[in-house]
Amino acid sequence: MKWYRLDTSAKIYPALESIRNPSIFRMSITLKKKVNPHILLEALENIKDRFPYYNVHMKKGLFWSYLEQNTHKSLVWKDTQSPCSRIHPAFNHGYLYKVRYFNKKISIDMFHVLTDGYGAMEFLKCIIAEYLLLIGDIDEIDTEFIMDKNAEPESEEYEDAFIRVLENERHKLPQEKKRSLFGKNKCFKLKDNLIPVGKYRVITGIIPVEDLKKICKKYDATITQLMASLYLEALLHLQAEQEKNKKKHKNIAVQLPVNMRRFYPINCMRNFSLFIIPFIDPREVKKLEDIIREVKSFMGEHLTEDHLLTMVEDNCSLASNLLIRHVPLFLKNIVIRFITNTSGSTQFSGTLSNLGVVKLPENIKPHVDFADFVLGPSTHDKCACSMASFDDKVAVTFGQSIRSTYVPEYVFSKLVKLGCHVELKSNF
Amino acid sequence: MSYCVNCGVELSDYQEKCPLCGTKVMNPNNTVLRANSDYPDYHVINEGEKKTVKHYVTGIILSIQAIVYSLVVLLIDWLTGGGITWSLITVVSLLLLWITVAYPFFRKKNTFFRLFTYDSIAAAAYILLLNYLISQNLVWAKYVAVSILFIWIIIAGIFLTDKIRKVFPITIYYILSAVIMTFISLSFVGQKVIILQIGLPIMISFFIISLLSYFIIKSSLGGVLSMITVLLVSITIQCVIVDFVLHYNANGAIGVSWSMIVAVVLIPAAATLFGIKKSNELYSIISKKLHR
Repeated sequence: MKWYRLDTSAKIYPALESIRNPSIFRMSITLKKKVNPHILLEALENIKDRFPYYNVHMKKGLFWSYLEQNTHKSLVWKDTQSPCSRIHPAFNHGYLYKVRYFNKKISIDMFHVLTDGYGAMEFLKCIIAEYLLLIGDIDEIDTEFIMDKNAEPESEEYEDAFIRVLENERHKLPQEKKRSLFGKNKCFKLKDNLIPVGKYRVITGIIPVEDLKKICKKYDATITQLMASLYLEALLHLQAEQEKNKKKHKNIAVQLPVNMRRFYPINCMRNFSLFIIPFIDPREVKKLEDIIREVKSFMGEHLTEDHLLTMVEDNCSLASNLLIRHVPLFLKNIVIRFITNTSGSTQFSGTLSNLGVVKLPENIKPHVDFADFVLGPSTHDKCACSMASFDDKVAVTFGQSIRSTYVPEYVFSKLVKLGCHVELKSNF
Repeated sequence: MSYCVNCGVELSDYQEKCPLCGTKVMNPNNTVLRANSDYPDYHVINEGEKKTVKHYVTGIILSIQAIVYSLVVLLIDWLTGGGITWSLITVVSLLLLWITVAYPFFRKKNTFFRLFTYDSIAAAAYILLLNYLISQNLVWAKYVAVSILFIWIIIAGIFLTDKIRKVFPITIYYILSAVIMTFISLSFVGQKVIILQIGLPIMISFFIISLLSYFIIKSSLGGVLSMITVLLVSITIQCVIVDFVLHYNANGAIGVSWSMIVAVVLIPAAATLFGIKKSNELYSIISKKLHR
């Protein structure tokens, strides 16, 4: 039975997984016709052998968990009201992902242990292409943008890309003292009443790309920079509202995942993203223009080869530490949970993840309405923002486990004021 | 198509109110268009709100409990025996419990290392106090307290390793710690010659064998089984050395005794592990369960 080690980033997820923190994210593609679940299941069965590293169940070893080949039949599920809910492998034939359908939408809820947003979207695109082929909407699948279902999986796809990068580029590591794992300053955290366990509020705004580009041009920023700045601005105002004493104001930081494949051309289908955390000091920055300038300069400084390589090294060093490696799994889990719940969670106020452009072949495009991406619930990030764009639409989604809609309301209202047309969809 | 008059966003046809601001949409056509909704079972989440409890409140509650229990125990002791005797042990135990459980709730910044340091100090102080309360001396407690200090030094070294990441200062740290620990141990024992003749050679051999095992595991051999094999062999060698040193000091002659039993057990186990490595299926099961 084939088995896989967890990749460097995935090692913490089994320890952190809980009902409030299921470590699940969702990729969705909305078609223009209602989905047929029987054909969807057939499509999934047809392509799943191309992705053996996703068709696995998770087992525990003495030192680390690992993934073992799963030969059970796949399942497709009707969608629930709350996306990204916890996956119980025992009720899902052992699989760590769920393919879901509802009306015109096909979604995949993916446990972060398996892959990041890029890998999940490639998997979903493959399912969608096979589905459209089976129902007869397309005649052939263009393998330029969709992975060839008949090709053999390459070892590069399932190996630990972090370790490979570190091995290849170690000589380029900067010589100066490395930064510590966690910063010293605590950041502002959203506080509000939690919604019931198992529920998750999702608000998606569909925005024309052209509208967003106009605003970006006005502020001389990229879409990610603009949205991150708007998100920071919303949190800035929220903090000012919640805490009247300005002396108690904390820095506001947004966690931005970076797809490392952009910098290291490895066709990795498992986790290969890291975070940078731009922040603003509420005492110094007030206006959107200033925030954009701060975010731009932070991204410019941190998205360099030296810094990225240092981040990769930091990411690998803990998992490869000889002592840590030989501590039994249950003890590791306790320590990981403790560190994440104390030091780790205070380093950022929220998360914004931009999946980027979802590229589909020309013959599939007419059958797809839009693509969106939802970050799952987390105890440390109670209002996460995620974005994906397809064709001429950008889907900006806020997933939150709190009642207050202050942040999405602020961001979408501001976008409307700046001249964007926002079409809103939500699950409540 | 409907718009929120407050936010200016376009809403889906099935929505009765704006999800952002809660403004009601006039004349929603939701019953007809529910079939096109994006999620099943559309309803407002408004039940079962959970309020968060502030940390220091938990700390205060736990502190009050500790104080009340302490007072009750002291009172019972005083009323039954006419003085305060055994209840002090309970009160000291409660104090330790308070430091480990309740005190972190009052601190704004808790890191694993800080908590571990407080708990170590508290545990050492508790053991010393306990010994003093029971027998008015520190006969056994000092050994336990030093052991706690020893564990703290090792854990602090791990944190230091993570921060510094340079071999030389870390090695110096551990050597210095070992020297300090040896001197503390020497101060407890009357016959210092025994420590120097027995303790020191054992410590030096332990240091050398550990270093050698580390380099062998890291450089040449890969896999869990190889690592365990190297460890078993090094434990056997260490035992033989300890046995040899003890035997020499006790009898004044060269020879070994009990370490042969250890060798008889561990060397075949190491050989078996090599055998397992040859069997693919067994090796696969063991390597995935024990992969590091």
